[in-house]
Amino acid sequence: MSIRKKKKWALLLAGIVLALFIISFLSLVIGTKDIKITDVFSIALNGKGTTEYSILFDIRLPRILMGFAIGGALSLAGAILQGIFRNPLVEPYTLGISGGATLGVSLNLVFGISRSFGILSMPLFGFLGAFFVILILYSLSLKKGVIKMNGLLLTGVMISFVSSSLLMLLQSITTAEDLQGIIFWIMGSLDESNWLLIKMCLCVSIAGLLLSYILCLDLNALALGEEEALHLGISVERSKRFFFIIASVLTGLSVSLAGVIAFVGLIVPHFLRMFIGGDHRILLVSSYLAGAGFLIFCDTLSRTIAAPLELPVGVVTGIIGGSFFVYAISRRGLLWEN
Amino acid sequence: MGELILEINGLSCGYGTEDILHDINFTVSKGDIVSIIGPNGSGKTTLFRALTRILKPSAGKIFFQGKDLGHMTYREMAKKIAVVSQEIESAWLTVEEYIMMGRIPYFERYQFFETSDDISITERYMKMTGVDHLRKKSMSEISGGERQLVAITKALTQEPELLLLDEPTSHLDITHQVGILDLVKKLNSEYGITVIMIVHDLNLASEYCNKLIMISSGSVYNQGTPQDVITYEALEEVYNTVVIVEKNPLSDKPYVLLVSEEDRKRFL
Repeated sequence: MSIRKKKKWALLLAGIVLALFIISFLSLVIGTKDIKITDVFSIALNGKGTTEYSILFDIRLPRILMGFAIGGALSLAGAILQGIFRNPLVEPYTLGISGGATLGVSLNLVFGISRSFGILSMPLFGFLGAFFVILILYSLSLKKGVIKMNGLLLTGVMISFVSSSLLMLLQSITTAEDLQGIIFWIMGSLDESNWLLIKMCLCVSIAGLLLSYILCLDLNALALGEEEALHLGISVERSKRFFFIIASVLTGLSVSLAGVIAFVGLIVPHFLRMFIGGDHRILLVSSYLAGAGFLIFCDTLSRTIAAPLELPVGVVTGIIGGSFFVYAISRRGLLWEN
Repeated sequence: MGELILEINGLSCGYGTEDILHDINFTVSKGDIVSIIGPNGSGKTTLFRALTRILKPSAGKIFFQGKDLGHMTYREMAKKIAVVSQEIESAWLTVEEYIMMGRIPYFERYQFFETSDDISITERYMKMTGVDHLRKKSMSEISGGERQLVAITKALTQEPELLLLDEPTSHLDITHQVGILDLVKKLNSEYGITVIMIVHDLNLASEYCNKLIMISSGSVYNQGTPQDVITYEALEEVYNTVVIVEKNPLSDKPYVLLVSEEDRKRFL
């Protein structure tokens, strides 16, 4: 590792962190009730009990924290999956993993499991759904070598279709009351008033980032292909299992708390790869932080662009991300030699 | 011959339940340059896969420096045996980053950055193979011959005792073919690296190797010096093709001439 490269990485991280802070701060003061930037500190110090205080710290701050945790989690999951599948267009949403998590959480809602076993069973079911889909993808595309990398995306889209059909099936046999709950939840929002959930979400998301660094060099080696990674002394099967579990936990967590938010995991790592290359030592942490900033930005946009109406944040990321996806595919010949 | 570095005893292996290789036996001594030759589909690549433990043998054992290969960890193996595959994935890397990956087996747990040792070893081998001017280029920009050199450089940074090369000269013009094999020869004589390679070009195999192993439908047909193995009787039987075997006037090694159908009819 040359010193020049370390400097470049440090500079990039500093830039992303700075941008993250600016976006978060703006997100704090912009909204239906704009708060002067200069007032934020005085409100924080002596404004307890005022309306401004509760807007800042009971409504907007939790959203920013959720945006941070979930944006980071989705983007990290995307970077990891792109590394393992060696395909720059995969992410939890395009592979149908989000769909699987959605189905898991809906089952939980319909059968009232969270009512009897507590709210934390929601992320657990999200995880199980996501993990199930990853297992299907894995056994189809990698183990037997039946489906090549391009087929992988197609399989993911099909899994999404199947899971949304199953979701409709669930919706059609459920009671009106549960139905409303499901629809409301699928629309997705970073609005979360339960501080226990917010803290758990932050902890799990950051833990995912830290854990992924244990084997991040394995991801680098895997980029050369599985046999090649084996030649470099990597226990390929073990590290794939490890990363599949991390990606499932991150996706399950995000979907169960904020609904389906598409494409964050695609755009952010994809863009960063163009700038800094494929070294996962910098890619993972920068994807996480940039993904966090990106989602906070999109969320701020979604609640201000049509104010007082609030759009689901998935709509904003879907439009930006979907357009980007098409652009990326059309340029793939240039970017990804394969 | 010197001490054994590799010993293959009764190796059978394949994909699923069907064996492709049957009862393979051969040894490789330290300092050998061995070439595995044989027709397409005879099991050469399968043999390599068994040597690198991507495939599990269904019978038999492979010993590396007297130790059962099956009992070594992948990391231990990566420090002793380096492989240059036929297909070289470029990933999203620069040449320098790609070559640096060869140091991964030497990383300690929780070590994230290359040590100054890693850097100087990488630099040394990049200079030796003459790829240091490519370092900033992306792996997808460079030519096939350069890519092969870069892949060999990466293998060298693993500081192996045994180097496995899977068709290092395919798709290359004669300049690059000779360039690559001269380099292999130099690695062998100056650094004492033992080399096993799969080569399709029988003349190159004959010219550069001291031992040939000829594989035919999953079994060893013949093994020994180029003079022992490359005879027109053997080639005609294994490859099912009419050939003429002559002697290279400079090296005294056998070389193979092909005969077209027209000439076969005219002269034979």
